[in-house]
Amino acid sequence: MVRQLFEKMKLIYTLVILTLLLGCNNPKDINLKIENLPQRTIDVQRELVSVLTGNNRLSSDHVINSRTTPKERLLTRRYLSEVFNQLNLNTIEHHYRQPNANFLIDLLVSPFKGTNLYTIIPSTTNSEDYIVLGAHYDTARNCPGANDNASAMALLYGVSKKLLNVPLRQKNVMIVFFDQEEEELVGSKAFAKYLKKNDYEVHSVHTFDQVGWDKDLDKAVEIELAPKEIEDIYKAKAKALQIPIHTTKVNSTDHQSFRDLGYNALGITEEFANGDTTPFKDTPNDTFDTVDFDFLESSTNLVFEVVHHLITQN
Amino acid sequence: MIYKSRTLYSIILVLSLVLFLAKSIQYALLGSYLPIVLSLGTCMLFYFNRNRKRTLKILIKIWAILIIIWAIMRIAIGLADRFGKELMENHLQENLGTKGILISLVFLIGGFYLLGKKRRHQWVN
Repeated sequence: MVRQLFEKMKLIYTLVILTLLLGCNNPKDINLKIENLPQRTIDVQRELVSVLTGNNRLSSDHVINSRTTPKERLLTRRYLSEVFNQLNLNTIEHHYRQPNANFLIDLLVSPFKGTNLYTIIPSTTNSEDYIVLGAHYDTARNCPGANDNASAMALLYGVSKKLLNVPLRQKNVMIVFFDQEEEELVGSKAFAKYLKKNDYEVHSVHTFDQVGWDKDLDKAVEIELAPKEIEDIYKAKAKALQIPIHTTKVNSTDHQSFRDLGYNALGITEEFANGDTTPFKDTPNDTFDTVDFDFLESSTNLVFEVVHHLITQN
Repeated sequence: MIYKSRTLYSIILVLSLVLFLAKSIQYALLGSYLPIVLSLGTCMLFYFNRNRKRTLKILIKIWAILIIIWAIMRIAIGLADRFGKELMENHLQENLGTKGILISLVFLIGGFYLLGKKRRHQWVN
């Protein structure tokens, strides 16, 4: 009797091991088809933030309530790919693995595994120079992440759409969506290494994080740790658009990953250091209805003007 | 019966070492070398002491205890995160979620199996 029970337990144990060994780690791929995006850029930006935060359904089968789990991040990438395909831009996935920040954690768990997504707006001349514009697409757990960082993804969409209408582009523009920013900037670190390894000639890297809050309605933005010549361009363009601009030394987001590898890099954000910033960061209240789309539109215009200047000057 | 249980013991022991080695190779390829130093060190200790019965028994005992500690730590962190405050980043939560806890349980049982004095002595002798 006891022996039979023991044999049964061994069988169950073997089955559990086999299930774990054979179990698929990757969520099933998802095919999406988006139709009828609005004509106006700001309306698409609004829709983008809405879908990415679960305010609107992604499809009849899927809704993105946060962008945390592998499946939620996959859905986000599929959606972004579809949206950029509508602009006739093909997206490329950059898969990576990275060790943990602390080597002792390496003994306990597997390495980081993630996927950055990027697309290239090609120069109209034969340029090898790239301007990199990036924003992270992941969120903290159980957070819709409207301001952090669907707002910046929407900004990149708007800037991309406008750049495609520039007839003479003397530099390539790479639009990147980073994975796992919320986890020690893992995705952008991996992407910076990828650029280095592939010898991309990078003029500058501009990363965007939280560009959807403007309670005092002054449209002000902050630029973080900008190299002097790029800071001057931002200031000149902001002045022309009557946008107040502040410089700060905040380094706690993706641009730091690129600076660490010697690239010209800066961050652009709402008034994070000045205090006019969302109180809902990394909470379930970072929802669609808290995003200020007038501010997003104004920031989109500013970034477009800066990048337009950079790609039309030698 | 004794033969069968010795075979099972060998499989579990070798599998535990091989899985550790495989994971450490993965980390070495990513530029993190501590796991491979530890796993190669452990494998070499087993190899060079394969004919010293007394030392081998002690080595297996230490190895089994380390596996048990490893599994208990993972289970404790995973459960604390699940039922207590959210302690961990997404990446750790992915690793120590339901599947992670099941893997830890398998290793925990394996560790206790290797630790059993009677089985250990029978296998070495």
